[in-house]
Amino acid sequence: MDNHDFEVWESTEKAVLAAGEQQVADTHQSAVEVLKTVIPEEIDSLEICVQDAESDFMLLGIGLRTVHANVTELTELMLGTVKRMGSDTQGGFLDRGRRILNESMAEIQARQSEVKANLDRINALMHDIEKLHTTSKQIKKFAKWLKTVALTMLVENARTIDRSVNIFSDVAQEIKDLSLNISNIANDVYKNVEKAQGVHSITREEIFTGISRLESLTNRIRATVQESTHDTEELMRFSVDIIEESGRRSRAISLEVAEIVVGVQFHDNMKQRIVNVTDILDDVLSAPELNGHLDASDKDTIKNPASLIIRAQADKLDSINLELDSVYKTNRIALKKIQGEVDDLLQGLRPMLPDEKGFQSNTFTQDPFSHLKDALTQLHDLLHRGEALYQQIQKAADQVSDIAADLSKLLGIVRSISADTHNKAINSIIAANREGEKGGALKLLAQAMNDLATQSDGFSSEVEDIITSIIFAAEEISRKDNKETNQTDDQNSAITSLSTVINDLSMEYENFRDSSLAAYNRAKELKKATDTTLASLEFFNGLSRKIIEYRDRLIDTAQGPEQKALLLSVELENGAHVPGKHAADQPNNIILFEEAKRTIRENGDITTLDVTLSDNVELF
Amino acid sequence: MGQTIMVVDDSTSVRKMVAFTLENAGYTVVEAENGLDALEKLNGSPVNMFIVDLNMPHVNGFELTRSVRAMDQYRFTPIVMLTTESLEEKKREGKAAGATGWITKPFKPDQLIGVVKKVMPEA
Repeated sequence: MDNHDFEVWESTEKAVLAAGEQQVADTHQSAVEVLKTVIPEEIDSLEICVQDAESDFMLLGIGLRTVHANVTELTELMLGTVKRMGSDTQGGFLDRGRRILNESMAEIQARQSEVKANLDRINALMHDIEKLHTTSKQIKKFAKWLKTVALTMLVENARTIDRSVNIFSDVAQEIKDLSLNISNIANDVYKNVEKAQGVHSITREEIFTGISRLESLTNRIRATVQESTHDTEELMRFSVDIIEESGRRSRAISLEVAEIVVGVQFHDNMKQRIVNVTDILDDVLSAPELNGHLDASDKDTIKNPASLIIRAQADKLDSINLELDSVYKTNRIALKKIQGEVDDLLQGLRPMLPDEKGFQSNTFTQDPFSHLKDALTQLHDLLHRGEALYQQIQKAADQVSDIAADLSKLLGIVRSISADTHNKAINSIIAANREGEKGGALKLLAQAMNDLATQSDGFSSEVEDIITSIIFAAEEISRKDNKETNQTDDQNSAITSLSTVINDLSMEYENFRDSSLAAYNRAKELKKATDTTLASLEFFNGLSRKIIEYRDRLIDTAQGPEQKALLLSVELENGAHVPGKHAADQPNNIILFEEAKRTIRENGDITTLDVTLSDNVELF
Repeated sequence: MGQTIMVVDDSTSVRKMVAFTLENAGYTVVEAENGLDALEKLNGSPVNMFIVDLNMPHVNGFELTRSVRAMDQYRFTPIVMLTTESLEEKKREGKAAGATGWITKPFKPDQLIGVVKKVMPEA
């Protein structure tokens, strides 16, 4: 190679080198320009994005507060309502209602037994009156026979001319008079008995009708009381279920709320991590290589390719986005679970409410005590009817007593007549015996008269027994009636106070219904709040799209070869604090220092410190 | 309960979640955006416990803890740090500043209430 050639080569080489240098310079300049254009925009976007996202996270927090407030109020409302119903404690209105139902049932049963016992007594009385009626008929017949005997004796005496047997004429005349007396007395007895019978047959008729009405009424009351008992027990079971359900749901919702509380805090984590990204991007912008302020000291600083630095920030955004997605999914699942619990809660409360068509066809829309109130009204009625019947019985018994007193007087006369008839008959038999054959017919008649007198004794004893029995039965009824009247007064006052209690219970039931409706409306509010909060989660998707967009922009920026060639005096990490993975329940995320123990000791309570918090607790 | 807890955090979302958790548990909450705001609001008022973030503008969590501990009224008042920091070195620094405990964010409501109940005896 000659000098010329060498010069050409040298100048060419210089030209090539100059061109290369120029190219490098151009590349450097281009890389710097890209960074100077993209990075400020990126920093602005990220800062605005974090700032804007805060209001969205706050809205989620507000939604959560609303959901939680509704859940708390609903749970308290339901528990308060159920507590007032008293299914879990003594003294609640269902418990009182149950006691009243039992007392009412016992009262109704006692009332029915009384009615039956009175029916038996009335029947016994009527049986005695029937017997007296039969006996008085027989006495009348006896008087007729006696009269016949006396008339026959008079006829027989008239046929005999012998004056010595005139005694028969006198005796026969006396017997005839006696028979008339007996007949009159028997008629009186018969009439009195018929009168008593007439009174009693009407009374008995009415009593029988009344008693059968009372029996059917009692059965109806028993049925309504049983219905009330059934409804009350159903309501109690329902209330116990509500307690268990609301407790379980409240706990389930609280667990989900805790997840969302953690989710809302992600903004703080994300903000610090994005600030770290923007700080490093700021470092890039401030790098001397970008600003042409290189000095000697910059020679010793660690230099990293711009592409690597920017790519590292893109990766951080990617990591933030992945966690954002995870937080979104956790929150969505939590809110979906709350939504499910709320739907079930609404479903559970539905039996307390009128259905959509406005019909009261649901299980608990009917006051369980309405049947009982009806039963009590009927019980009132029953007592009034019973009282009227007792008064009728009382009146009849009084009449029977009067008749029995008259009969007692008549009984004395019958007895004296009977004794007199005996005497006359014996005298006649003696006289007839004296007459021998002539007195044969008269002797037979005197014998018959004696037999009739003996029969009369039997009637007297029988009538006496019947009258004693009637008087006893009448007195018994009278005594019972007085007792019943007193009992009725007591029962009326008891029923009145019972009615008051039942009305109070019904009012409590109404309150229970109102509270249930309030709980249902609260549950609907809760559903609305849950739906709104769930819908508010959509901001996560928008935020994610933005972060991906910013990440992609950084990746695009880092991809050019000029960024690989551009070395910057910027470290990959600036040493600032960057939060770790956003997760609660991390090991050792809660620590109480020794100082805490001392502080607690100063305040006089060391025992609480022994309670284990969780695996996350660390005590130094 | 009626006990008052001061919550100091520059993150509104965290502050609101702490307030939400504590208020639900029956505590009264006073919020402050940073250490300076806390000191201004404190002003000798009765506070039974502090929950303090670490990284805050103006006066950070350590500085606030030291300032509060210097006041006779709050010498034994529990101060719990609530922060995303989890470095042992920082925890030691917190302990030295007078903190009672350390909770790394994020917290779960039952964890926070558990700590509050442990360090703050009921009135």
